[in-house]
Amino acid sequence: MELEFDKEIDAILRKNARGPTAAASLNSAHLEPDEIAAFAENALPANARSFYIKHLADCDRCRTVLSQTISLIPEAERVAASSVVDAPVVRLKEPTLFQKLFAMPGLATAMGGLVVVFVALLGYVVYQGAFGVRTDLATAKRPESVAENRTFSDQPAPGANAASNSSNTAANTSAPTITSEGSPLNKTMGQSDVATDQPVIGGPDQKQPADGEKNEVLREEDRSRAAATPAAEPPPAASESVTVAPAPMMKEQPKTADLDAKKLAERKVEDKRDAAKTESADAVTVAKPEQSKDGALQNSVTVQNQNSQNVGGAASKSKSGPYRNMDQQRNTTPASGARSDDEAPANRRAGGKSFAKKDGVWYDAAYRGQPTINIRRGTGEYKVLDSGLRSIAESVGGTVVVVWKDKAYRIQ
Amino acid sequence: MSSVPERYNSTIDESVAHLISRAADKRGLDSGAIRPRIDLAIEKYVLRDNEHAQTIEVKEFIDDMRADDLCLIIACERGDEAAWEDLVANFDGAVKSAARKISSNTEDAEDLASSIWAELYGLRQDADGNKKSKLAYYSGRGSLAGWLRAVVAQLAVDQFRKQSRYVQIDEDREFENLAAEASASSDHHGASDVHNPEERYSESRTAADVSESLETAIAGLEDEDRLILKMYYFDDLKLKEIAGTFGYHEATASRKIVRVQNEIRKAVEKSLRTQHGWSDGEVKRYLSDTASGLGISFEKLLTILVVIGLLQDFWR
Repeated sequence: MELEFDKEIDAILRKNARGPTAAASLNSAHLEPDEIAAFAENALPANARSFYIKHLADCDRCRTVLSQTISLIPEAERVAASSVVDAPVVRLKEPTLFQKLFAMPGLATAMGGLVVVFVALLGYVVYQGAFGVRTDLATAKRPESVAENRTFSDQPAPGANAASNSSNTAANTSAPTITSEGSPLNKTMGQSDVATDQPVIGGPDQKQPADGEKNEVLREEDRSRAAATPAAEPPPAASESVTVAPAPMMKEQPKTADLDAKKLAERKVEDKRDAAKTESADAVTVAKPEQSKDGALQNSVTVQNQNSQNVGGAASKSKSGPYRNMDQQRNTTPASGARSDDEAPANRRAGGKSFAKKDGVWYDAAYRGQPTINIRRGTGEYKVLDSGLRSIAESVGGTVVVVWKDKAYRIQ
Repeated sequence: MSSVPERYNSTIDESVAHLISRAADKRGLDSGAIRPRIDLAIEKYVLRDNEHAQTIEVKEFIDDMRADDLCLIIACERGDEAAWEDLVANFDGAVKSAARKISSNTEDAEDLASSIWAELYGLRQDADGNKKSKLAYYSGRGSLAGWLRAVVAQLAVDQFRKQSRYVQIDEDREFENLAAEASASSDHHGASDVHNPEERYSESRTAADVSESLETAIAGLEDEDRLILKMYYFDDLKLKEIAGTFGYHEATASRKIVRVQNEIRKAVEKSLRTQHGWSDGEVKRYLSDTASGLGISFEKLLTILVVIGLLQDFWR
């Protein structure tokens, strides 16, 4: 504990300095000048010093001589002597642990460096998010580039791939190549079967349009472009899976346009089957009016435009990660719905259940009009629901009526 | 005859030879001329408190001695005129300077310096007719200049004490008289302001209690703390001077003073309560009054400033 100068005791001591307490003396022999001088210069052996301290503390006369001797020492001599004095024995204030820690220059630098690295990392993450948005925007603003690499497939898309696809689109559009396998990133993110082992122009991750409504526009453009480009005309068997090769690539690699469309279509149909088996909750399947021989699964067109958010808006942004994926899927619905207005009543599948949209509400096929438990998303009631039920609700989006364990839930 | 045990002889001889070799001017001295002085110093500083000192301690002690100063003094003592001339030439200024500092006027300073040189030369003689010189007491442990200053200080203090006896300011004066005097001379209430005999009696009793408690508290301190306290408060030495004497830093001396203050406060308060029956309020009030008596307290100063400010606002 740091003691403070005691003014009161200081005053009393000064007041009594010339009093009786200062007038003590010893009857023993007084010290000689040699002893006093040696003491004043701190030149006595340590063993002998204690004797002189005791005598000087009690003998007023000798202490006075000592004090006078000390006061007679010239300042220059004192400075020279003090330079010999060791470093402070006791510090005025003991530094705290925090001060000691940061008194180490290396550690302080390291901490500063860590802060810089952390900030840089944070900035990188933010930049990555912004880059993804830019990618989406760039994709949306460059319809020809996207369209060139877009493949509309009737196979169910692994929903988990949506996020990675959005960022990969730009890379692939900027460097269009013929890919025979999914990119390592897509593999990592879980995309497995889409166009693997199949020479597909642009790669599997480029099959996803940038957005919903834009997707429709692009699709029209793609169709017109495909019509104008015989080489890119998809075979009838692949009518549900439109693959449009990029123009530059077609110029560079005309063989690409001549790929066996039938093989491609067959391959994608196989992929679609595999994906349908997985019944991914994230997959959003929009039924098409045309029924193929493969049944309902083949009648659906996988809309992989999870990147579509606020299509025409310049401020469209995509979230990264699974949330972005879900949101994108949710936002896909209106686009699909818009299309379904022109075509047929929309159906969706999620979690092994089929949903039909009536009056803006997705109804579970198992729903028989029983009373519903109304729950809003984000509420505490919603959070305590079974994860499977929540997953279905998130996958379908909007207002959905789900029959779950013999109970009907209306989730808004 | 030296009483230094023989077991140290070889060490001392070697060290003395080394000391002579260290001297820039040994002034014709040999080991036999220096050895007696060395033996006396060893007896006084090494063996008095430690009879079984190791030879290395003896050796280190001699190695730290001032070879040139010691040879000069011994040569002077042996009547070496050249040495005397050197001594006066080199140290007369130091003696006169010390005398001027310690004396109240130039005349006293001149007298004091002359007395010093007379003492050093040994104008006085003992019963056998030998000159009694203070030079015989220089051991060479400290510097010659420091020793001369100590001689000056000792002579001045002794002279002052002799003169003081005529005005009856003596260390043997009665305790109560001193306490009353000290209290009356510096009490901010002022003894002259207290006309009530009861108050005067109360004042004197208070001063006596405090002085007694203070004396007890100081006596209970460690020797070094007690010495430091007295040097600081009674002799008005600076912290830097005290620190240099004890070989530590000025900040350390400051901390020691503060710690001693704390110890004294506790002891005084305890003594006043237990020995003299003071209440807590009386102790606190007395300490506060004493502290504020040395000048305008901060609280009073602040109050005055506030009042002045209020008055200024009022007149506007």
